[in-house]
Amino acid sequence: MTVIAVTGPYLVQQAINALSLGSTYALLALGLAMLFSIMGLINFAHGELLVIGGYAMWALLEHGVPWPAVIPLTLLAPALAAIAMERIAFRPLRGASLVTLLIASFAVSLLLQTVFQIFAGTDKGIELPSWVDDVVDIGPYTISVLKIVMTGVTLLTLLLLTLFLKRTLLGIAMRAAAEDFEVTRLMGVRANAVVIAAFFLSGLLAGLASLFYFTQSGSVGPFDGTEPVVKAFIAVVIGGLGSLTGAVVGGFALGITEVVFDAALPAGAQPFGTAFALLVVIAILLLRPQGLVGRPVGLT
Amino acid sequence: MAPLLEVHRLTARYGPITAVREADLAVNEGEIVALLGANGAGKTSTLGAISGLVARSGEIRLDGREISKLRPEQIVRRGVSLTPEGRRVFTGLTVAENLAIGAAVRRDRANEQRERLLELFPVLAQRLHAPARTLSGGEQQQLAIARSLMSRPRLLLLDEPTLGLAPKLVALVFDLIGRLRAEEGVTVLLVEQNVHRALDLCDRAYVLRTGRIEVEGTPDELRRTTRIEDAYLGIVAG
Repeated sequence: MTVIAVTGPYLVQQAINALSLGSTYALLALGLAMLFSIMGLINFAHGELLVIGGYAMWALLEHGVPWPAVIPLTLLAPALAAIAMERIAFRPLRGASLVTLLIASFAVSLLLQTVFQIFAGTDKGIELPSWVDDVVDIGPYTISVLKIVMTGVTLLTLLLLTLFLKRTLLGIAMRAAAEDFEVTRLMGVRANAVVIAAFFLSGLLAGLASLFYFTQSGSVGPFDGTEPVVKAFIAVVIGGLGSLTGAVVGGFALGITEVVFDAALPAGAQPFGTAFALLVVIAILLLRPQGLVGRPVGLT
Repeated sequence: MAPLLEVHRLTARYGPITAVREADLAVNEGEIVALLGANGAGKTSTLGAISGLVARSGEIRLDGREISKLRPEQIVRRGVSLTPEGRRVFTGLTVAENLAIGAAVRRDRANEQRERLLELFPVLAQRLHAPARTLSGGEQQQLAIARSLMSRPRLLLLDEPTLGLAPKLVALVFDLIGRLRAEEGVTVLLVEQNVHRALDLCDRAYVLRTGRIEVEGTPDELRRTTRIEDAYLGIVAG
């Protein structure tokens, strides 16, 4: 038996870990949920958008591009890739069944992984600036600056996204389309405008997740997108398919669950942390099959 | 004068199923025209085909211009607005947001139009910031009609606007349709199961049966034709 000394600083440390891990999941889950609610697409190639962000970051830093430029370009690369993905792979399948779209997304995912393998090969180390390892001391607590920034930026992003969805006509149209695409078109809203906006935003969110994910892992490889996208999909399911709020709640719930098990499991059981987290997911879904936030109509 | 809407040999299909066959119909500017018939006669499909939602062939002209090849979002830009069957308001959006989407194609003077419609539908003014899901059936129907009118259409297609409403609300909706024509100059093509009320309101009506237009005429003409009454109207008259 391991005895865990639960102290104040330790708890705060773990809470920040949970929030920052949850942030990455929430950003990815949001992108998945947005596409699912608007066009019924479960996009497993979303993980490759994350990797594209990682490669963009690596390539830019390799060429000595300064950080202030690397950040927006890392956001933009997956967003543009997402638009290309829509145009090339998903637009010809507009209106196809859930399964057809899902299989198409697997195809895109595998294709991109192969392309990454051919052109990038093995894992690329990302040269990170030293400030990513900085910590601040707040009273008795020592906290990673990066994790605070991640959590703060995620909350700010969620706020901006909410404002966009509530205050702009395009945002309102996206919520309308998530509820009833046909009637949204009857109102004269161009289907392409809504779908392209959804892909762009989902790519942008993946780009932000890239910045967080790869500054922590420190390297990028062809298959790095698979595990995060599976986790994000789990987050979407925990939260309730089709709900954006649910995706965020699910992302944070998964992050918290993983960190709790990470901290609480004895050393010998550590490799099974994810398995324990998934047990909790199963329990949640048994109790609330509709997810934590349920299945409200449309984007909420 | 050429009709505002002219439909010639319209055929509408859902995959292998033909819902409307070679239908001819016309709606003149300022008219209220009813499409009548039993369930499955092809009324909703006719409206769907005109709006571009249902695959169709034949000619559909608005003001003499062919619109049968256009997509739904283009057709509404030309001034044809459909209030779909079952209301289909965006229940997660507020009343104000529903109206904002309705004005997506006509953002000029959208506020002015909204004010006019809120005067016409005072119940919506009271619930402006409430989610549409909290509205009653009658309120949702008014919202659905108001949403269609936000684009300031020349032709309003109304699909079963009184379905599922209490008798008092049915009267209200019919009264509103009459006022829309009188006060706003809106031309209406109306699909309605409530045959007697529809005939009381409309200028002309078409009777559809198994995808074909069987009879056309003024309400008086149709009422006189007992064959119609017995065969198609009597069984569905409400």
